[in-house]
Amino acid sequence: MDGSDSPQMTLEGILDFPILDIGDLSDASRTYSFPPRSRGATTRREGWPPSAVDDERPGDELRAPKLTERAGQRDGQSVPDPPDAAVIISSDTDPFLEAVANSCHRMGMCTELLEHAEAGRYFSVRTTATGTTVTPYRAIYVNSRDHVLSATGTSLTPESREEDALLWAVLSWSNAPVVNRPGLSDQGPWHRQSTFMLRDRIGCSRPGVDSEENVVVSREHAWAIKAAATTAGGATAVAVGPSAAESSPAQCSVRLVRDLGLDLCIVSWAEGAGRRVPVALNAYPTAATLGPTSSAVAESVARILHGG
Amino acid sequence: MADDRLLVIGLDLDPNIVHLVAQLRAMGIRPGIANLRELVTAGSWSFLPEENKATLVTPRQVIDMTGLESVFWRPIDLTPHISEYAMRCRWISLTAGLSNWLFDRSRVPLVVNPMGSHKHNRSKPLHAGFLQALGMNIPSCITSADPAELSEFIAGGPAVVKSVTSTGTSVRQIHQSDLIGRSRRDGSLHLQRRVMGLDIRAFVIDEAVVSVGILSSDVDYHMRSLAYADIHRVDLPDALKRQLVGAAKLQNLPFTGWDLKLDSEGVYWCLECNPMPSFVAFDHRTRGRVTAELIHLLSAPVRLPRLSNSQPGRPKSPVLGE
Repeated sequence: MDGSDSPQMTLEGILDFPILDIGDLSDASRTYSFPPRSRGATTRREGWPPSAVDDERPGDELRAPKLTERAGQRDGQSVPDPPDAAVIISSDTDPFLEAVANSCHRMGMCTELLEHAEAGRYFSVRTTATGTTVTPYRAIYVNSRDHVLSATGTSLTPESREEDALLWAVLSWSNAPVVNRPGLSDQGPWHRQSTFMLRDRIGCSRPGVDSEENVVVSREHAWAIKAAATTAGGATAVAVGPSAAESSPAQCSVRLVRDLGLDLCIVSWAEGAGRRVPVALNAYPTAATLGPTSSAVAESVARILHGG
Repeated sequence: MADDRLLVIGLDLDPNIVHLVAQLRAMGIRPGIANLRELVTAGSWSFLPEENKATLVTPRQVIDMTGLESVFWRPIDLTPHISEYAMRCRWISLTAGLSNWLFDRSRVPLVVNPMGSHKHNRSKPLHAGFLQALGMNIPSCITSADPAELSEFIAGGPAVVKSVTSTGTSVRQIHQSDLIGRSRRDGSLHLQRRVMGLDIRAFVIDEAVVSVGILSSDVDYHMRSLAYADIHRVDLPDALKRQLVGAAKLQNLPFTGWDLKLDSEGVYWCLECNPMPSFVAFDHRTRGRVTAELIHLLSAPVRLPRLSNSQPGRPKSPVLGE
């Protein structure tokens, strides 16, 4: 089934279509053969920062010093308890974020929705000779649109740079669950420049190309959805039918998102010159971009925040 | 080295770039030079990763970026100072294209400093935690907007204040009185326990370490020109040198500038690792040692075999239907 068959469909209408649920990814090796991560610095990781050079060069003789375990897990401390509260950081309100909050509530967690600037004043980070700690202890999900500032050529203010800098440290050092934990390299915090820089990173930048198919990849599941043309106010997703169940873009998307160390991301694909290529990554989904998968993805995010 | 194998990318306004190029030429090496300002205002560029082609075009030259063996780049972001929207977009587009091209070592074996390397010192709390995790001896620090937490930290001993990004402000000592009237709304501060002693700047260039001691009466010797400070070559303990070299490698940074302190008890403290250090002022005080090591690094025969796209180092872009 092709999305163009039903260009006038509403979001409610397309819910009738079967969503291609690629399946439970918790036992990923059963279904997919993921390559080893080549860049440990951007992974969601235990024992972060990484214990090896990002990409070791042949001939490197000097071994980098081995890093200790993350702060808070040293001295025999066990993994922290699941948090009883989550912070959702976004400069916009969106039904998807409400759905995430509702899912968290059903799991017994409190939620706070903070604007970007508020979040930059909410947390504290301390480093002593024994390690780094972040307070308060909150699961964190950043779904910010601030990254578009750079992509559109608008400079961040000095204040927002300061807030970003703190948030980058918070997301990196917090022992609580974090959705899309950032890396240590030039890409900086995923909550800024994400799509822009991620596209650079995987070398799939095709500005101006409309995607034809989107694959939503969470830590647990992946869904393929046909993308209709994005319009100012309309829903954009149409679920693909079972005939696309063996869709290679879906499997490649899962591998790609895993390789980038992300917990949640939409990979957009397009066809040109006989080849299908990923043209964009979107780590900040909304109800509109997620379409019929919104509720399921919200549940998945909540489970990550709950420590799942 | 043939000229077309080494490229220096930066700003004509940057004395570090000017100095490096002058030193290269003095040694008979004529590198390609890409002036970002000229490119943005009067040039053009194209990056075609799939065809393995990239060119930079200015009114004076065409730079072919294929076949490069080493690149020194010092990209200074001027977008905050550019008011014209279209020009800002051009700047971002150029630096993003360059970043993408230089990210892949199959295209350029040696980039100083490469994309994808650690550059987290613009987040002081992240950076401090990272250095501590490396086993560096760092002063305690806190980043917070909470006046009570900040006050408690200051009560624990002399402290200095920095911006969280450490840009735009000098380091200075902070006192309880500075917090009067302060609220969360005023934003976060990064406070660090003050260490008294000799300032040391150590440059790590690949496996070479060039270090100088800086005698300055200021809390932060950066506050004033180095002309106001006494600068002398110092030698660091071998163990510390090995630690710095290892830490730089871990961050995938062939060229780093470390800010250290040596206190009166002979203890070395690590304050910061700069991933794009300014070196020209120190080079004059070290008889050109920093630049000499840099040139050795950049012009040495390529030590690494070129990597094919199939080798580790970069998530390969999936392409279907081929």
